[in-house]
Amino acid sequence: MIALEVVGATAFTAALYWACTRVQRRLRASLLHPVFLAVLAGGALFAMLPPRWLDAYLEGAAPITWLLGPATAALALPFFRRRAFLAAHPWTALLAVAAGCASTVGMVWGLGALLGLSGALMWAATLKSVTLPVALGLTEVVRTQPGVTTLCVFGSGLLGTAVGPALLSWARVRSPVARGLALGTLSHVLGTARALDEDPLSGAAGVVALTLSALLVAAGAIALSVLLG
Amino acid sequence: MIRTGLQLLALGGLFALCRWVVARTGLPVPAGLLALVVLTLLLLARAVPERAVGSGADALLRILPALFVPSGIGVLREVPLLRGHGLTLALVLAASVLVGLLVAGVVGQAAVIRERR
Repeated sequence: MIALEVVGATAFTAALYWACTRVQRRLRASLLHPVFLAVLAGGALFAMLPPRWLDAYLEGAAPITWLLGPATAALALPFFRRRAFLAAHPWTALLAVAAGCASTVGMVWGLGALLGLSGALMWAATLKSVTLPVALGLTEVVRTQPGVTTLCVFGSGLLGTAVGPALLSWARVRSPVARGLALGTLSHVLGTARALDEDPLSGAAGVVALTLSALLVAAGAIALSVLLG
Repeated sequence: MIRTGLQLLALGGLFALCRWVVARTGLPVPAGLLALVVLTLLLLARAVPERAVGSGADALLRILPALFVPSGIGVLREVPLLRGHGLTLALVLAASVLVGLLVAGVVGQAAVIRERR
């Protein structure tokens, strides 16, 4: 029975993603990443079906979710390949990423407390700037939900990519290094792809920033969850 | 093709090992993150050459976006958590993304200028 669900969920996910890739290519809208279209379309479909269909799908999708683990490990390679960038700008990279992470997390906790955001949503918003495979792993440590966290990570990637370049130009951030670091810190893979469009150096900065940002926020979240019990 | 397959198995094995270590020791660290740190250190220490895992890792990263689809659709189960808080969450997200971008960019720009001196 479970084998049937696994085959069904895998085939459905692959077909849905493939179809959304085709649609995105047809529309030529770079912001509409196939993964958003797939989540929207799949979500709309399962919202209309009885809840047990969703349960069966998520159960059958366990092997896909398991693959996120090795894929997280695979993130070591892009980072390793850009190690020359980190060697050339160690303090700039560390300072910019740490400042970006600290200010964005501070803003989440400050504004969140002011507006009465619940704990689970506060954590999901805290993980928004962490690259999604790492953020999903962290949801188990900090007790928030994977779905909301996925939405927050998508949101941060989309917003940063859409308004980030203009915002940075407005603030007179002109160095390709600084622009790449900012986009990678807040908008992970999507921001890095956008930075790469501007300049190869920005792209390298983005890859280094997204890795450092994930490690920093993860270390903070883990330390805090241990302290709070 | 075979080489990529073997490398995928090696990455899966590394993750499975990290999962076992996490389960055994009760470390409050996601196994995938542990595997990422371990692999980065192995690469930097030259204990593992890049070509031993490169093509497998690239293959995984190419399909990575598709792996997010189930967790994204899973938000349907969490609708009660969001009910009545959606707007607040969106506001907090937007404000914190903009502030983070500005601070990271401005600090980065200042640090780059100092580097040149």
